[in-house]
Amino acid sequence: MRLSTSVSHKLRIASNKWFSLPRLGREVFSDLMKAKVKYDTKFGFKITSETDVPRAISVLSRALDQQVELQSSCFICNEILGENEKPGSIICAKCKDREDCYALYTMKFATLVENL
Amino acid sequence: MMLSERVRPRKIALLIGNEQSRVQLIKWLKNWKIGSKAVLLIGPPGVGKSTSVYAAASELGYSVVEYNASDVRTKKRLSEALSGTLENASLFGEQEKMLIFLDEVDGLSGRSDYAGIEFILEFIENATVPVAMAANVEDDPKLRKLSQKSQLIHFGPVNEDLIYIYLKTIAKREGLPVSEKALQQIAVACRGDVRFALNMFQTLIGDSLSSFQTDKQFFSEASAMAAILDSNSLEEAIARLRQYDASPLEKVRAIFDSIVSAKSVSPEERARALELISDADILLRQINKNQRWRLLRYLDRYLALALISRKLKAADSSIPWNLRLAIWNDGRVTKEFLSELPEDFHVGKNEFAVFYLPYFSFYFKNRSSDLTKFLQKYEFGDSEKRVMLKIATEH
Repeated sequence: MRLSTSVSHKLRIASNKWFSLPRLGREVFSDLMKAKVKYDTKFGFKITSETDVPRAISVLSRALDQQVELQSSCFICNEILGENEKPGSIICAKCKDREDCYALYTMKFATLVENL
Repeated sequence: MMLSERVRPRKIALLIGNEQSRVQLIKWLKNWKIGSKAVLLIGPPGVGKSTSVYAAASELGYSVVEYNASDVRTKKRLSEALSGTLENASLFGEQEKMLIFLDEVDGLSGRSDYAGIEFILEFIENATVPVAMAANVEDDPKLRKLSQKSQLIHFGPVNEDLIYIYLKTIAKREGLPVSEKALQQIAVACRGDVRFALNMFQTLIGDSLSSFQTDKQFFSEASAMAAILDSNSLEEAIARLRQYDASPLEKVRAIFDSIVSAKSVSPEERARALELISDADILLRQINKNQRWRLLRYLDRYLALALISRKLKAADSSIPWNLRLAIWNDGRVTKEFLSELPEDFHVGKNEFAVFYLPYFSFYFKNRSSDLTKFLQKYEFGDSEKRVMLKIATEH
């Protein structure tokens, strides 16, 4: 996935999705690893639940010399949350309306723990 | 029973919010080995810090021994409590693992608590079992050293969507009649505090609770005390104390009456039981003074410990009420003296009570202005003055 740039030249990175970066040097790479950004030689970088998000955003903003913003995705279905969602939301409107939303949420968390 | 206690999740996956923090906690405990750092959970009340510790421990086979740091706040008391726990670790069996949980470490305040913080620092650095701590605020200078020596995990207010979904699930599961609009309003009003949300929810469904609550309630002191004293285990006694529909102070008084009027108890056993009631009383005063209602959950435990296995019978009603009240009040005041003075005179509590207190009382008997100065120095009031003069008269 390529980074999306909005009209105001903000770079948007979606959480839990792989993204690529231009070569930024060893120091930046090391800082991203310290912020627990996941890296894979094949897929690139990924912001996960373990990432120190403010630190990662600060490293990227500095290295790319551009404002970077994290686009949240739904904790349950991983779909990127729309701009109409309330700030701080972690579940999309579609999942929120489901009767079994709490069950899905807890199952998703259980999967995260199982994969540790 | 409070709804927040009743529906408290036993598994970490069943909590809501702070997903990353919960993952970090599980990871810490899973990978813990001797020499690993302790963990310090920081966040506002009601966001799941304690519940996460208990749930994570339970899932990974640990038994939790919890101390509220603001209850055992001096170095000596912390040392006694924690060393005692480690010495008794064998009680948990060879196969069972133990986790020590120090709740409200930011509750350590005042000059005497600096030693307490130093002790915790030393303790967590040399701990042979995992130690988890919880605090509400991070920028407290007292906690700086503790933060540096621990792995920090931040908990934040829980997202209102999640709270709404959670309340909706509980309402559905329990068949409670409540509108979605009301649940949404609670989710917004609680500002991310799940416990507060559940308490508001309980208030809202108040009338429906009779069918929802299945616990037996005791309504008279006599029946409650008879049942509590008849308990066969600590847990049973705690459960019955919780069902006793009385104010915390009434509970303390009732247990105190039972202890002082019991005939079949040895002086040593009685002293041990009264010591525990004294702790309960101090805790209760601290709760009232600092409005920390959360600590009430420890009160029943202290009282149950005072009663259990002492073969007590319900209070002997032949003791006149006014005499029982006088014993009770004088006992409270004497405990005040014993919690403040012995340390300044470098003697133990018992020695102070037997030798020093009567001596002081006698000395001050005809020196009214000296007595006033002495009492002022320790911020004592009229009750202490009355008891001091009473002791002097008896000697």
